[in-house]
Amino acid sequence: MTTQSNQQVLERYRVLDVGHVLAGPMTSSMLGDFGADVIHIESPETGDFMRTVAGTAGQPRASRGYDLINRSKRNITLDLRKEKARDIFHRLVAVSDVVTENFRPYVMDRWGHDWERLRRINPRLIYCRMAGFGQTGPYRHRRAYGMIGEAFSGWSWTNGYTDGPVIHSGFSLGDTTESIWAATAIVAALYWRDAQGGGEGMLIDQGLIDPNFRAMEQQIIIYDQTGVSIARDGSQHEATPYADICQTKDGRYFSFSAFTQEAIRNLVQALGLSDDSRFNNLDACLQHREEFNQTAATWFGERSLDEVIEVFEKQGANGMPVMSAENLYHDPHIKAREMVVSLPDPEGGDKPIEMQGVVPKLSETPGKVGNASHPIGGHNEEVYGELLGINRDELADLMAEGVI
Amino acid sequence: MPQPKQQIFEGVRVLDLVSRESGATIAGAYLADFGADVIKIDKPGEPGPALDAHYVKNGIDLQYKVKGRNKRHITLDLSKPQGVDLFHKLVADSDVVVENLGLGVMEGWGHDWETLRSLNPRLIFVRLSDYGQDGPYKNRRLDGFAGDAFAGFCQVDGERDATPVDSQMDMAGHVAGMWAAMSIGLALYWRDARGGVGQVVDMALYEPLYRLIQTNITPYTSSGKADMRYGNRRDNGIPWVDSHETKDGRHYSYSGATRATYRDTQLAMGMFRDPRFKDLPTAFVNREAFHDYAAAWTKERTIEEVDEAFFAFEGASAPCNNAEDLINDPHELAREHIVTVDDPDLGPVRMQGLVPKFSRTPGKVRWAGEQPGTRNAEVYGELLGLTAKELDELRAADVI
Repeated sequence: MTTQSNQQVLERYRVLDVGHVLAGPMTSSMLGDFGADVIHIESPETGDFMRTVAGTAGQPRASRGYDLINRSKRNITLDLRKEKARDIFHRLVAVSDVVTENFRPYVMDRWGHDWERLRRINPRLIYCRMAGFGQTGPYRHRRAYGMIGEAFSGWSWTNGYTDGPVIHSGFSLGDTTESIWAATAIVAALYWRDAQGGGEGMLIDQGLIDPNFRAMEQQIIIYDQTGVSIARDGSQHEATPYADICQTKDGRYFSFSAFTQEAIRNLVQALGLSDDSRFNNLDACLQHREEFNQTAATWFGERSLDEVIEVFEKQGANGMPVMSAENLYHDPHIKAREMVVSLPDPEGGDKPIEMQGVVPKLSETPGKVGNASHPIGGHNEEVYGELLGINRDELADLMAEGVI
Repeated sequence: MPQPKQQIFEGVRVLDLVSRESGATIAGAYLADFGADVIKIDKPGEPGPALDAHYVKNGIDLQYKVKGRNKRHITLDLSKPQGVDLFHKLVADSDVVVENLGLGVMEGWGHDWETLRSLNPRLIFVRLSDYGQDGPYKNRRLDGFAGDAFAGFCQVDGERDATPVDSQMDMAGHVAGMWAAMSIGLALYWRDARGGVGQVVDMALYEPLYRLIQTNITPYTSSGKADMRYGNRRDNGIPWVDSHETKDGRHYSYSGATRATYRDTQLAMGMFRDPRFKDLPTAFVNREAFHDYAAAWTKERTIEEVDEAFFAFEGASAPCNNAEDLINDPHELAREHIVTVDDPDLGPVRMQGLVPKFSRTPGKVRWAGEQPGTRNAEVYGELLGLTAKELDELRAADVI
């Protein structure tokens, strides 16, 4: 069997996304970028909470962050709490490869969608469950959102100014890192099922608090071996004096760091400190950490961002401006890498909707952003007709009963 | 039907050229946790001494014990003619090469895609680079921390009107590493389940983190306003998502942004009947009073008391744990998230367990990260049939 070039890796595979808010829906959007038929199931009564989050109400379309999280999908409604919906959901499971959900563990179980039930319906199903604290353990019924994932995992303890309080990021770090871990796990489980002789699906238990805990590799072993709990240190880094964020003359910020001997050489050269024995080698610089921080801050304060970039580029030193959404949107490199794409508004608005492009670039099977997010239930007729043979009259009845 | 493989990536061989200090080493570690034969190649004589005393014990880089776990470590100088030859023989017998050596470095040594694919048309060649393989900045340099800045992350991390901060985790590097693992999974799937061939994966270090930040592009293009950092006071200072210090100097975070979690947050802190906070719009008007009440309430209680109150009402909340808290936490222990590995350098060491949990193919932490070249005899013997004498000669010539 040979495939056509430009085929998508996950074309013809179906993902039922009963996720809400961020972690679950972001996971399935990644699979959608690589060709999967992702069907986002929302409550007909309320829709996905993310459509109407605080701070975005009153805009012409509800939540603009929602577009990125829910791109490359079809949208249907189904009230999973209703008796009649259970059967419909199970019929959809029978013709799907993957189910993703990010409720607390008992929620899907209570609605009749526990693992044992779903695997009987479809033994090839991959069921990715993304509860905040996972499916097991004493905290499994606790809720978790992005900042709880930051707090519990040990991440936020290391984020903030030296000697200051813990600071959370303004980004939903817990949810989004969970989504890349979950998408990776789903692809891995598909690989085992279809290429490694597995033949059957499996249950994936991916907690929201787990990825940052796992990825902060140093925290457990350093405590175990030395008794030290690593802590926050502003934008500096415990492992090297050669890392900080400094303000430039024109009010921008520049982040630099050096973790190898070569990188240190390039950095001190860029800062004009090659001949300064207080700073030009690691041991000495550790002794003069404060002085180095001040010297670096002064150096940046005397130069515009463009001047800084020019010097760093010339010396091959590691560093980059802190970019805002505005900076990124107008950046020539972001444009050249097609990291902003423009899509028609599925709700018929005149203005195209812009968002991030596909990551990464696959040479043989490049992904594609299928579409911006559709209105709630926008594919009810298409999906229920095509997959379950439900006709318009039946749909009208289901809608009248509040099932869809 | 062939026998199912015991682990997901059993039989998949990965040549891992990702530098030891990069967060993206997690790509190989993830694949190795779930059964891949990951061969980490270090240059002979490298790495040099590790950088900071916090991370080192008896000259051992502690973090690398986790980053390099389950990988077989060999040395090879990919730039020397004999090294080129040996590397090409390894490539012929592998599934994946993953590298972050810098733009054009592999090409300069004779390991360009055309050469490698002619040796092995089924090869998946993952190219992690600072800014990607093309575009105007392709020759600039950054690492994980500058990656956080370029991805738009630092801009939203820190106090309002103050310098941005960054955590002690190389966010961009780790997210890129996981994204690389997913991409390898996709490329393997296309090759082995859909009749495809090998391919190149091109990814800039900051691109995955940039892709994840939902406030980056769409909200800016629709409102004209770029998101900013605001410490723990999100979205114009809403007080129902926040973090406060406890009586015993710990920090506790809670998130009451939905109707249900807002109610539970109020119940936990005993403010349910307070008319100033009866619903979200009213609480927003009285947000400073809410903030002061919550800060004072938390400050009067120990972390255990605060957590107990939130736990009783199933609030969305958690203590800001540090390593000491986590290593003793009953939930993390019950989840087997702390495992002990016997290491020849350090003896028994504790580190993170497996994430996530696969019901059918659980994976295993088999060993901790090794010194460079630990498995030279084993790997070169098994894969290329090299004898002890040949290895001695290669060692003498600084090839391995």
